[in-house]
Amino acid sequence: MAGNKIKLQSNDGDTFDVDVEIAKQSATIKTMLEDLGMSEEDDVIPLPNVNSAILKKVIQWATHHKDDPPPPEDDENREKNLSDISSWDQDFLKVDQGTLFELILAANYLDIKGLLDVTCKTVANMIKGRTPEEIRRQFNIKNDFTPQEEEQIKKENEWCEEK
Amino acid sequence: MNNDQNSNPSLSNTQKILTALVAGGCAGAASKTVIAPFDRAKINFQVRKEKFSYSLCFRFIRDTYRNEGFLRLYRGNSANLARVIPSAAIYFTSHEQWKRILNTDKYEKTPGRRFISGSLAGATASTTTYPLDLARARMAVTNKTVYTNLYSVFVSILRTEGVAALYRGALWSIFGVLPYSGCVFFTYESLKHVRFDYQSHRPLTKFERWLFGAISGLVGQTASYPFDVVRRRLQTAAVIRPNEKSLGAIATARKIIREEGITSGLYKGVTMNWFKGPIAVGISFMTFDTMMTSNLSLSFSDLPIIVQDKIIHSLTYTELSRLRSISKHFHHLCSDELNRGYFQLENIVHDLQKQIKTKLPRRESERHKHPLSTKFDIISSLDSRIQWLKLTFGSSIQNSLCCFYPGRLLDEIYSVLNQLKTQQTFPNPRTLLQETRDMSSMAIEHFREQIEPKLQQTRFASLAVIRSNLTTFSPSTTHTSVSTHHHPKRSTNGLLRQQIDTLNNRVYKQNLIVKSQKYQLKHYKQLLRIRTKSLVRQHKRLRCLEKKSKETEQLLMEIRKDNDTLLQRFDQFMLTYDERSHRMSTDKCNELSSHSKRRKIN
Repeated sequence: MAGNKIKLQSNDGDTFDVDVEIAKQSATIKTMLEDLGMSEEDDVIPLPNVNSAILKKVIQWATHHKDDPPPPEDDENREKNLSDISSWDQDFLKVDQGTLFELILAANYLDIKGLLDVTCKTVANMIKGRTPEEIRRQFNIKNDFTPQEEEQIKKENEWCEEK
Repeated sequence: MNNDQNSNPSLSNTQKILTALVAGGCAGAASKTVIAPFDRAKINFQVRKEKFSYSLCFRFIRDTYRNEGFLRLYRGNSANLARVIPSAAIYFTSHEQWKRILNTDKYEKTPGRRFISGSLAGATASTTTYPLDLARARMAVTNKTVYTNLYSVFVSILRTEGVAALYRGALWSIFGVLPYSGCVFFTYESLKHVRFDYQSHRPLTKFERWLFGAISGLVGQTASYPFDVVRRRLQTAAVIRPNEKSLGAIATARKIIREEGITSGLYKGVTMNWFKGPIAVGISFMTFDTMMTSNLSLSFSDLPIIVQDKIIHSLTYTELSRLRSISKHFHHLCSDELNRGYFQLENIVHDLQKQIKTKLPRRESERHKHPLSTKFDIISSLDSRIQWLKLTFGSSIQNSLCCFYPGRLLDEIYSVLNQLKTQQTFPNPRTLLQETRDMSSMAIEHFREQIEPKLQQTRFASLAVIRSNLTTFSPSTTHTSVSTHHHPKRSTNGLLRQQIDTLNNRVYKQNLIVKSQKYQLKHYKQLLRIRTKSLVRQHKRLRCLEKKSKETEQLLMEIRKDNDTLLQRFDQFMLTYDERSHRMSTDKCNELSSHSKRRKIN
């Protein structure tokens, strides 16, 4: 089985040769291969939601993580798992926000749990510890509250302030 | 590494070119209009022999303003804009395209290619727009008597000096532009990369773009200013110094160095450029990048809800309750997550309590000796706290008038629960629960005093609306709503709650049905796929068999034909045989009779 290659085609027409084992980290491609029987040699798998720059990055990630054990199920402990991003992943995800979001979209579409986890953690780290105003600026979000609603939230959040 | 914000990959290349053209044009126009008066002054100094100084420069601008009016400051700006809009458009667009062609910074960092693609962009832009540039320079240094407008510049140049004059100094100008635009783009892109390495996820602000543009402009100007001076001399030689008309580029440069020195000749007016160049380049880069990125990059709310939930899920509840004030969308997300955490809590505590109870002795008097008793006490008191919270917040949350906003309390309770799961002994259970006690009572007091009265108001205000909504929802509620009219005050709340409960139940059931139907659908889809496959296979087989049967049919036909011919032959044979035998028998008869006759005769 090892050494087998399949072709992945991005939405702008570039094709990439990828080891089957690497490509199977994507559950979407895995089901395509196993359930739909697209295993013939010359088949090209079209991925209409991914462009070539992002696909290239995804393949780069998958190649680096091909020997990883399958990611564990989500546990209830928040906080703890936010910081355990490997240094390779940290370097890998030093990209601008647009690319990061596109990677998330691609990981979600291709159903690569490891990549989705690590990108989501990165975004969560971007949110963590910032003020709402900073986050609005960071993600280009408009404050669409009416003054009354804003007042209510402010009041609710005053519950634990010391007098 | 693809760190470039401009390359939004979801656009096709033609779309990218078009946006880049428009954005580039706007960038050029914006920066040039700001800078036009200074530019005019600069060209005047470059081509005249007076020494440059800021006071002279500003006096020049002031004098023009006084003598010829405000609009005169922008004399030549029409040519300037006519030149700058297409050239900036081509400039930025070709830079984007060269970057694409040369794969600059696409997969890894390539500083060398950054410089080359910048230079090539400059070369492309300046070859296409050189004649306009020449015309502008001429207009800026003459007054109204020589040329009246842009058109007349071209006409008179073509008439008096010929077509080649339009490209006088063009080669030199292209050489001049190579280091300039190379430096500018190189510095700008490199600064962006450095900035992204430093803080990778924050998008560039407008000021940062301007600043980077300004720095790169400064670098570019310094590197290429001498080329610029020589170029201007060449372009305007025919109008101002007729005796230099025939000199080439290098000769002109030498002449300047000999007569005026390097710093005051080749760098004459450079301080002006240091002042105005960065502003101009900064503005144009800022405009271009902002226009290219403003509506293109993805934002947080474009992500699928599942992903957003996932991201939200890894934040603490304290964080969540604070983040609610970002926007309505975030408020919704975070409130859901907080409520989910709160509802889960009850189940978790309940399960834990049950679990420990089974291990404890049944008699209460013996329980306190058991090692698990402290644990049990802690959980019981936690449970009572949660029940209390439920009494306070429960109805408001169920009516979705507010969410369970005390996030820090949730975090605290979860951390206590975590300790309960991991540790076995608890030396001082009082301190463990101290924080939870304090915070829960704070939250409850605050809610009772500050929040609940307001919620009541809003609830009664919206009651009528809810009621009308409910009556339209289902026929069964019409009856009850009629009865609410009889004694509204006593039973509205209870009835509404009942109705909401039934509705909730219905929604829940519907959801279940939808879910199961989805599964069935999936199953059927798979079946369909399998069936179609087998159908195709059988179709193929059928065709094969048909072919075979045709062949056999043909064979059969042939055999039948053979048979027929054989039969015919056989018939013929039989016929001839019959004839022969008949003949033979007659012959024999004859013979016999002749014999007998002969015998008789004998």
